[in-house]
Amino acid sequence: MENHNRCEKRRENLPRGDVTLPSPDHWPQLRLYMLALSLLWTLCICGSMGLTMYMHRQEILTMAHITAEANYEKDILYRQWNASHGGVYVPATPESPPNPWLAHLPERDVTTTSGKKLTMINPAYMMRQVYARANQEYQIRGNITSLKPMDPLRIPDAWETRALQALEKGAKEVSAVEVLDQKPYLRLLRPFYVEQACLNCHAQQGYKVGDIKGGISIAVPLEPFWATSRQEGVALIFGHGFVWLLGIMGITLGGRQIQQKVRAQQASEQALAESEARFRDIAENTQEFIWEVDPEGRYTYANPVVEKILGYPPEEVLGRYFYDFFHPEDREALKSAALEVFARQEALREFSNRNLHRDGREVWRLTSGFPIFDETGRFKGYRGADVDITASKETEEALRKSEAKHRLLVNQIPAVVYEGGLDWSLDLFDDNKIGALTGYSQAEFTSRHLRWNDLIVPADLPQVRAVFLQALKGDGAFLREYRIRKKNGEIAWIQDRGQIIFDSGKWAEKVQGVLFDITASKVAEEKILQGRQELVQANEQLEAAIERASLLATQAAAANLAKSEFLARMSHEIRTPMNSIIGFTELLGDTPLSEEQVGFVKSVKQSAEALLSLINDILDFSKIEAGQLTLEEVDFDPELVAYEVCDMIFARLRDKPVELLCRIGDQVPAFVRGDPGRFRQVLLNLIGNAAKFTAQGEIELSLQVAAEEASRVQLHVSVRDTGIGIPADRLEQIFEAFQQADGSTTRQYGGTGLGLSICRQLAQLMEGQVCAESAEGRGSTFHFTAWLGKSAQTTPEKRATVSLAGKKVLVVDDNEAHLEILSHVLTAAGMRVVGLTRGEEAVAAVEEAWEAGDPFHLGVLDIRMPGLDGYAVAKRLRGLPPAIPRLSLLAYSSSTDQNRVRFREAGFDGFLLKPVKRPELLQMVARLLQGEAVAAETTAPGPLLTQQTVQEEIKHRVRILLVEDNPVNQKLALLMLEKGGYQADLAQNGQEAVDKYAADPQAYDLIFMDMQMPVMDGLTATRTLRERGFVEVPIIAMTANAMREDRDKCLRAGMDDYIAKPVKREVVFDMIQKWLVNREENRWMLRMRQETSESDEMSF
Amino acid sequence: MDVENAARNLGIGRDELLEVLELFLEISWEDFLALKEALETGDQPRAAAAAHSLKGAALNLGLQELADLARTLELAAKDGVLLGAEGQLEALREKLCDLAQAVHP
Repeated sequence: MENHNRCEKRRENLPRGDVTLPSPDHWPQLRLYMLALSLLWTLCICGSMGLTMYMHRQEILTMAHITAEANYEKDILYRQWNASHGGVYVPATPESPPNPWLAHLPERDVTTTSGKKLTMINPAYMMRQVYARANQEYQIRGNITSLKPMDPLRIPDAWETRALQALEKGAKEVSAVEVLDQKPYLRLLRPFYVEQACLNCHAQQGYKVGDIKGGISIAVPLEPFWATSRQEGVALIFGHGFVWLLGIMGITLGGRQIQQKVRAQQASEQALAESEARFRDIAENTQEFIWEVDPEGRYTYANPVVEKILGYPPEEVLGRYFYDFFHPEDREALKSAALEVFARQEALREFSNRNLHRDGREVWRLTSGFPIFDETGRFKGYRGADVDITASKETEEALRKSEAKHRLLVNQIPAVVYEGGLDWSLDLFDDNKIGALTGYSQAEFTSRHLRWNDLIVPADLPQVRAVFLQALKGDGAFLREYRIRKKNGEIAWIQDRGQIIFDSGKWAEKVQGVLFDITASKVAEEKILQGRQELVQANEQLEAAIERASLLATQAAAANLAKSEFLARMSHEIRTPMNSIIGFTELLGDTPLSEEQVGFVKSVKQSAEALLSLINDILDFSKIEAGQLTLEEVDFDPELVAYEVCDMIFARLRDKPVELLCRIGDQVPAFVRGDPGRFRQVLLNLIGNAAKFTAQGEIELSLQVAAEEASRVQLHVSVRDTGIGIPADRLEQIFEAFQQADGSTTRQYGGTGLGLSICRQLAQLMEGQVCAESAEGRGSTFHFTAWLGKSAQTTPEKRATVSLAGKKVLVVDDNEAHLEILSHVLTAAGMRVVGLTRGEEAVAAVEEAWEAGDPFHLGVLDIRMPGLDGYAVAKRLRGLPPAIPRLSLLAYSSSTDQNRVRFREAGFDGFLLKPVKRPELLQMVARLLQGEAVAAETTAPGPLLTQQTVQEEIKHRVRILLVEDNPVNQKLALLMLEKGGYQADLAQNGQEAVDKYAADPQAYDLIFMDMQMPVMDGLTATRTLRERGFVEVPIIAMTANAMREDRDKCLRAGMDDYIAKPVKREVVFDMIQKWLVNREENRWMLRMRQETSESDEMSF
Repeated sequence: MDVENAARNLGIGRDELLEVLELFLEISWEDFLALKEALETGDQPRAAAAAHSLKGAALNLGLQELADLARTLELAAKDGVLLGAEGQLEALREKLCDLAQAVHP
């Protein structure tokens, strides 16, 4: 950190790289300096000038003084001369009048011989005159003056006075510059000594020789001097000025020079700074560790990167030897290597060295450096840069390892990589491998001049060559398999995958490839082939066995079939006479009989019934044994079955003091899905047993729901009696075939002993159970559980009970006995019976009856008849004109030929198998008649009613969608349709109709569409439906307009048919029949086919 | 009217027919009133619609005369020729009353 700060400081001191102008730090100084210098110079010059001028002045003054002196001396001389002469006589002129002061002199004035007046000019006077002239001429003033002048004109002026005084004090002379008349003068006053000569005239004053008489003041005008001086001064000034200028210039120049120098220096400083900054930038921002070492190898400079690389900040590095950082292991070696270079003062080139980072890890450096020398050429050390190559070293290392690993792996591959010329002289073998492959080593190949091809088994050569040639023509890739003969004579299989390398000229240059020893796999291949062969053989054997098995199976099936057929035939053969027996017995019972006879009849009847029951049981049993019993799956009402069973038993109990109770649970659904017949059978058996073994007390049949699942429900029936009970050890046994609780009971109570076992098996088929609990002597309770499917049907069918009274029925049976029985039964039920023994007569009879206004309601036809059989008769009857009301047709057959499809096709509405008990027969008849009553004028048949469906309606739910807006019409139509047994839904308008239909297209089989409705009318609705893809559903228009165009419009809109309003019931039902029945029949056919294909089901 | 016969013709029970007739009366009375009003205000479309509804129902029930009257009125409303409409209306009303009587003696 310290280092950093230091660096910062240094950085601050120097301008950074991009500084342009030097800072004007120095300029004020320099200017000041220059200014001072200039000032000084000026001062000097001025001084010099001043001095010079002063000296000049002094000179001038001195010269003036000298002049003055000269004048003085001259004056003195002339005075002396004068004086020596004792005066000089001059013509007395006005200009030189006689001197008053000399008045005292007698000889002042003289006249010449010629009469000129002469006057004495005494020195003073002479002086005065001279002075005057001097003044005039030369402006030199002179004056003789004293402090005590005789001539008042000789009064000294101020200065003179002072001077004179000074003289008196002893001064020899006084000179000064004075201004007279505004002009400068040099005044000189020198004493005027009394001389002998002077005494001539001036003795009177008391002077002595050598006395100062006064002074002579000379005033020399300085002006001329000044003028000269001035000139000189000017010259001086100019000279000085010039010199000053020079000086100033010099200074300026000098200053500038200095400036430049400074600038230059600054520039160079700046450049230096820049370069330093650049260097610093680089040095500090580089990834490289830039360093300098002294000749011994100690670091004299290290950039901060060193901290990154080695972990030491620069300040800790400085002074250390560069080899201090080497990894201890390498230190000695590296150090000596480096120092060697040092010694030779050579450049260090990419010297990689391993170092120890401060935190202990290894770092690799790549060092480069060059020797540096000082200005004298002396070796100063090294300067250079290091790069951290740890990463790349690591990569190198990793690569090396990886390579090694790969090489190892490659070596493991048992393939030989080769490269070779086209003559198949191969090289680049891995010696070991080729040895393993061929037995020859690489060396041997060479020494024996072996080519690869030489090893190939001759037989394979052609193929080998061919493939190669092919590859030559193509892209060069080839794959071959061939045998080689190894050194030891063994044959080995080789797989040769190679690539011919083409040169740029598309000529084959060389081959590269890989050789695999596939001997092992070839061997394996062979083994596989062998194995396959064996498999095939085994397969064939299997197939033969299967054939045999299926043959056996077929045989077994055939045997089964034979057995079933036998059973069926037997059943028929047995039943036919049984029928007679029972029938006649019943008839007999209706005739007047004596008590005894009644008893006999009863016995016979009982026996017959028992026998019949036995037969049925046996048949059932054998069917179950053969696994040929299948359960039906239809919707039925279990409650109803319970009641019916109770009804049936009730008759048996009439003579006994046994109460019969029937208890139905609330939860029992209205409909379940299963086999009602078998269900009833079990119930009947159980209750039958109860009735049989109970002499007095009660029998209770209870039907409850035991469990419920999503799609099925478990019913639990219990039959409780107060009979003789069953001993505990027999409770299970009774369910076994042919077992009864007590052998003696057979005689007393009858029974085959099969019933319970059959019940149990049936219960098991229904995924339920039958079991018993009992207390001997007190009674038993039998439980029967069965899982039955949940029925979608929820609304119970309306079963309007139709009375049979007065209905006309046609019975056709070739067997007179049967005819009689049947006729009797039916007549006893209040019907009017017409019996025929020949089918041919049937049609005529029906027609006649109709013509007579008393049509038949029902036809009961036997099937197996000579001549026209039941089918034919039925067909014919169906073929009657529709005007004749349709008969319900019941096939009453003792044949096991229960081809439902055939019945249906023929036109039957139901069939019963003989023998059938009276109640059941009557029920069937009632059912058929009910259907007939509803469908009197229609030809809408219900499904073929079978015994199973006697109690219930398996009427196809024809769902109609009625689209009508008028409430009255709605109601009417609905009522009408309901009467017909059809379910109808309502839609108020076209839109509703479309919505309703689209929501559940399966729900409706037919649509009656009114035409004019609000929101959406009939045509639009029809079109919409068709457009939406509902093209199958028949749409019948209800139109008030019966005209052609309207009909066409309807048809074009997509309607299938139309009925005119007001709608008539017959028409409606006709429509339904027309558009639905056919379809329904198809559906039924399909169902029939499905059912019959399942089994040759026999029902009782 | 002979309810029994009518019922048989329609293939429904007597009681059921009576039910339907009641409904018819209810609805057609409404229609009738609407028709009357519409004719008075001259609202032709409404009148035609009402008459049409009446006609349809009556026709289906086999009430031919009622249906005819209604039909006439419907046409009149559609054509805009309302002459004599009042008379027709009156006849219609009478017929309805007769029916009502027959249904609820």
